[in-house]
Amino acid sequence: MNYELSKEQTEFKKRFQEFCAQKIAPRAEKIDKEISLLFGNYLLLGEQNFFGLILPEKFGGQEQSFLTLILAWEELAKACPSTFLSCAIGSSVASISLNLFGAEVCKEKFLKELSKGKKIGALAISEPQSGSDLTNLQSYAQKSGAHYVLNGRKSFVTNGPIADLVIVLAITDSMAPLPKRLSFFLIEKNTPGLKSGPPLEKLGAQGAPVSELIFQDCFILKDNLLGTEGEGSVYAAHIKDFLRLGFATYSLGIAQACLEESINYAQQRQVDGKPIARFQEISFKIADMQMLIDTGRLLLYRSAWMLDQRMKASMDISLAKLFLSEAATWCATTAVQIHGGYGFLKGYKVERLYRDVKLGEIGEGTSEIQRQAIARSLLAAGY
Amino acid sequence: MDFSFTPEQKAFYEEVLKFSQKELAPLAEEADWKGEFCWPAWRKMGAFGLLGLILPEKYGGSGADVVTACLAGEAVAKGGAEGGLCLSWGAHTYLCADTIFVHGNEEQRTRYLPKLATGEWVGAFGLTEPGAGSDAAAIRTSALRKGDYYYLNGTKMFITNGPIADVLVIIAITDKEKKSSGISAFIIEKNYPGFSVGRELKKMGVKASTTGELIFEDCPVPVSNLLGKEGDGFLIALGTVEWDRSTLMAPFLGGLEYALEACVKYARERKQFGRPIASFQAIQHKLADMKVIIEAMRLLLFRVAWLKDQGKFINPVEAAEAKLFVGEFGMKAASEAVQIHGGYGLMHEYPVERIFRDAKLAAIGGGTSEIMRLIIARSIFSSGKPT
Repeated sequence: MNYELSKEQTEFKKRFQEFCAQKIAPRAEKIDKEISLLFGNYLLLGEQNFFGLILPEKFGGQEQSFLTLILAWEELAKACPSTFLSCAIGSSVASISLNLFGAEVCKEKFLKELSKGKKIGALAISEPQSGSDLTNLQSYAQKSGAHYVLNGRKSFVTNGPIADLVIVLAITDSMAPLPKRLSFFLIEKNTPGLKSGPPLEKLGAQGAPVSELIFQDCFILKDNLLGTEGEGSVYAAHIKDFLRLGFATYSLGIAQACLEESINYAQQRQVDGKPIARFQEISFKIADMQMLIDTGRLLLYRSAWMLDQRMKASMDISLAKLFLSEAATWCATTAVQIHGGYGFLKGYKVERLYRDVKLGEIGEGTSEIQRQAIARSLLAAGY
Repeated sequence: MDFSFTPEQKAFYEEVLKFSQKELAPLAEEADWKGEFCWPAWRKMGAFGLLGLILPEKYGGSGADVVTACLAGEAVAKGGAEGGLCLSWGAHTYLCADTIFVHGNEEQRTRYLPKLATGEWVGAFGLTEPGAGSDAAAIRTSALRKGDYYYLNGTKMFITNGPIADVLVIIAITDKEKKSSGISAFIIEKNYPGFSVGRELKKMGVKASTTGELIFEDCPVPVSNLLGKEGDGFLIALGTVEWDRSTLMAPFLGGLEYALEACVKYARERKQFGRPIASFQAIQHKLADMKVIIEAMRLLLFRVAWLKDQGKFINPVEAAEAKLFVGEFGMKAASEAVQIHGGYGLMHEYPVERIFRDAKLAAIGGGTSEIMRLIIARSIFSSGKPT
């Protein structure tokens, strides 16, 4: 047992925190209006080797542990939730998926640039009629000689409007049972027949472009099939674990930012001649925030550690995501409350965080879906 | 980071779990119902070696580390033991015996520890008074030295094991002028003249643990029974807090695991509208919420235990976070456990009823949730920076 990060991890986290505080956080307020800032962040993060953290060295990666990856993710989410959504949940998870399941030629072709942040990746799984329920997917990839022809419509694709390559889940055998029905493909942006819908207007995380993708008779080379045909739902379970880790970390970063803003504000704001931090109504709320965040962080780190140990971690990831996303929403509500009227104003960080935070309870499986997954693992088959 | 237990720790956990299921669980319901200390269970725990778990072998203990001690606390409760028994164990082994081990001299250790380790003697620790809880500096019990004796005067309140204890560590003022550095700790034996037990208190939960008011009227304590030096009392009392917020909390974790198992079983068996209630989402999601709370609790508690094993001064914030979480969320989980059981959940014969009543203690004993928030908030604002 050891509850401490290694010396290297502690130093890495500190370095990355400083980088994020200096380079990323100052751009967070404006990023939802200026997409160029997001592209700039890709370059900045690329220079820090952010995208290659756990990728193999031969593709420009650093082969770090999942835990180390989570440390970087946490700091980025704290500095700018929109950037995190685009760079980590969008592009990084796409690269991780490609690395895990892609053919060698495909990896050779794309991973080097992905790991430098010079190309942007995206994952397209959900469809208008189908979120966590994969039995209801309709996108179809018809095998045709040396390639596949893809038709379908994907919704809520993070990076949809800006991605250079998209990893898509589609039916390859509509007659097969779910475990053999689906396959993943890699599709380049300039593939004829691939169109992106307009960026969707959202409650929060406005700096991360999300859109529909429409595939009309898109030709896909066989090399761009990820792994084995028909294994898509198995791979999807792995990819979902990473996405859920991503949203758990998104929530943690936002909650930590809310805590820090609240601490600062409570020390500055005076009532009756003393800072509001001296009132228990305020300081106890802040104590609860810290307790929840610290607890959630342990759940998250343990999940990442379990992945590093090659243990089965799906339920633990669900636990972490459920706990952190709900705790973070409470933290954001409380942070706005502590800020009083100012918390309601544009330009105050907690106002933006309050809007950003909700996604954590929804993205990659709502809280209800997480509870379902946890309950099923408790009750075993049949429920 | 490494969240794993050693193979020895895991094996010991399993052993204790089986012991509790076989030997302690059958005694739980009656002990709770009667609200009386369960001597048969106590003797079994002593024979198994749980009562001296963390003491060195030299004094009859097993020399276990704190993580192992927490695992034992978890396993005893998960096996179905009554919560009061676990509380008595905690007060005896960690608050009394360990305090004597850490701060006592060789003579004191040899005299008291072997019999505490077997459970032949029952130990207690007394700090709280009718007018002083977490504000330890406000205690009024005094110890004035005359010749070879200190004479104790005052009243202690809510003392676990007080009515049945043979050996008690008592905190008293030796020099009022010096405030918190004028507080000292003493080892009292039950037959000292001037020491008596006032009321035995009846409680809502953890009922098989005896709780009492202790009265000292010119009670002479030999100078040789001063624990540590004069003025050490405040730090000695502070040291027990580390146990309050780790090993003493572990049974609440185990109790909730026991409750969750009972809920899963009940939800599968109980049928309404022609199907087991486990098939309803409203029930499933309660089970999931309980699981989240249990896993979070585990991580927080074992972090405190691990830190203590590293010989580090426990960061009070980490201990306070653990206790705050166990207290607040433990009640939530216990309440869900009763809810899942419906009408049966209110009945004595179902263990969730008992666990529900026990859960409240974690939000009060050893410092209320409000005190935990105070500790966390102070640490945040004293440095001016977030931790």
